[in-house]
Amino acid sequence: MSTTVEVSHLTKRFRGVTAVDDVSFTLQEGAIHGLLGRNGAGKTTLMQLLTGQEFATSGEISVLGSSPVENAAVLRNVCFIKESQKYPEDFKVKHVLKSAPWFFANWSQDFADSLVKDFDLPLDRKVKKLSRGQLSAVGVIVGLASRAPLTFFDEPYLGLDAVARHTFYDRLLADYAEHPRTVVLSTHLIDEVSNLLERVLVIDRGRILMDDTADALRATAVTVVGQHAGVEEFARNREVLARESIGGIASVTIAGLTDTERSQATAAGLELSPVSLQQLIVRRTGPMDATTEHTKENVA
Amino acid sequence: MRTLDTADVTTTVTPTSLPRRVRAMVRLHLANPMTPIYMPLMILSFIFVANYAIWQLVASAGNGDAVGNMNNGGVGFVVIYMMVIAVQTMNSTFPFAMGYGVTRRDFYLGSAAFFVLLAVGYAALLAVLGVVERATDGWGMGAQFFAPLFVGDIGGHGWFYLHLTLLLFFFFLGASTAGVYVRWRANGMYVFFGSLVVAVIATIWLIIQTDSGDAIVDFVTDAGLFGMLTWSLVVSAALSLVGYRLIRRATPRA
Repeated sequence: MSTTVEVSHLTKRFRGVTAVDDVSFTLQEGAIHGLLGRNGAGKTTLMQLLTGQEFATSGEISVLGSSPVENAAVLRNVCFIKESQKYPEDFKVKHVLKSAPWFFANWSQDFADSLVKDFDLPLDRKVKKLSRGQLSAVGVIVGLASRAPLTFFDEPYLGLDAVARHTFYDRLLADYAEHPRTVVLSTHLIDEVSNLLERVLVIDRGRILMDDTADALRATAVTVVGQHAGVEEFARNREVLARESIGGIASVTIAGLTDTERSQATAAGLELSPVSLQQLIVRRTGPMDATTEHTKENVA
Repeated sequence: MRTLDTADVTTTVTPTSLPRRVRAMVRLHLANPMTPIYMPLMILSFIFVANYAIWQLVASAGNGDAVGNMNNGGVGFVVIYMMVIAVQTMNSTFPFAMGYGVTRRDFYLGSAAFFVLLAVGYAALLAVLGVVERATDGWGMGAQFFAPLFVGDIGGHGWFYLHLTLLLFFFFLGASTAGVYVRWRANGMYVFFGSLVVAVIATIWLIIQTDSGDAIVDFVTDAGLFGMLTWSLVVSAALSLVGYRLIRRATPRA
């Protein structure tokens, strides 16, 4: 598969802060990517760098074969409505939707109109007067209806209720199936979107922590459930990401089990269940809690 | 997991020419014509009608001669209003346009074209109204509004040139000053206005120390009104270049 975005040794430093720290990765053409990470991890900065909105301190970015910075030929393929997007003073929703087709060659007015209905957006209201959820809906509609070959969504769900969020996921998936394009979705509602994502990039403190297909990432860990003693016996000397116990039943999440080890666990009467992407990422990017500290001693 | 042939993937869109991109940017500025066109015209009409009522009042009180001496510079609001438009353009339309995949260069060229377009339009309108004012002997009352008498009888072309150069100056003054903010935020503003105060004091000090006050007065007198307006074009061009340099290095912030 070809790549639309290629990044190598990209670093962005602001005064005293390294927001993006020597990262290298590629985005696959025609795939939905999740850019996951905690607040302040560098998600927005990274997307701003990829869309030529921010200047790199060092490193290389290639979007559709060349640098995106001040490159009109590249940027015509890009749509990036930020979570904190500013709109022109006095713009009403209808002005946003009226002007978008002048900039996006693939813009679909029918799709935009149906999305306006889906999100129940007041066209004649000033963007400044919109609620947080309505503001997010404007960004979502532009992002979807633009059908830009490279579309970025920056935490597009802020203020949207569960129904509206699922409308967004459904419309994205349905339209993507008909008009495949490269999508990058930054979010921390990982479980909600995990079924959408083909590839996952996890960024933590400016560094890429994981970069793989969603399926491969899920397979990197497994939860082992069973009688306390049996589970503890099995977990000994293995990398434990999480540990819970209720009464005599224990559950541990273990990283990096081979197929043989999995069969051993099953043979020992233990149950194996897949780990959610969210759990996995929380364990990998969250602060070390008492359980994991304890576990490290075990491992050592 | 979905797999796709690359052939299915939405192909990249064909690049467009610079004039088309600039045109799209101008259209974006005019997407909501309320702010740049309808609102200033309504305000101008309101000020004019209010003035007209006052002239009538003064004239009916038997002070017809006094009307000719009244000039409150009401038409001057247009240039200040346009400066505010330039500031808003840099501050909020810039980050929006970048979200639409517009380059800084195209944004600035389109915005400059928009400013020139507005300046020409408003200068033409004000010049025509100035000519009408003179032709009707001050709306039949010897009043002055669009063509203040102190400027002199400079004719339609003269009024057009005067309004055009002033509008251009204020547009690019607004654009370049806001450019400082967009580029360096609040700290940039502190340094900018601090430096401005220092520069003004230093200039006055220099003029006094070198005893060149007379030379400046001579320069202005020699240049005359149109000479000075032409000089302002040089300043406006310099300001537009400063704005361009600032925006080219600016990043859209929340």
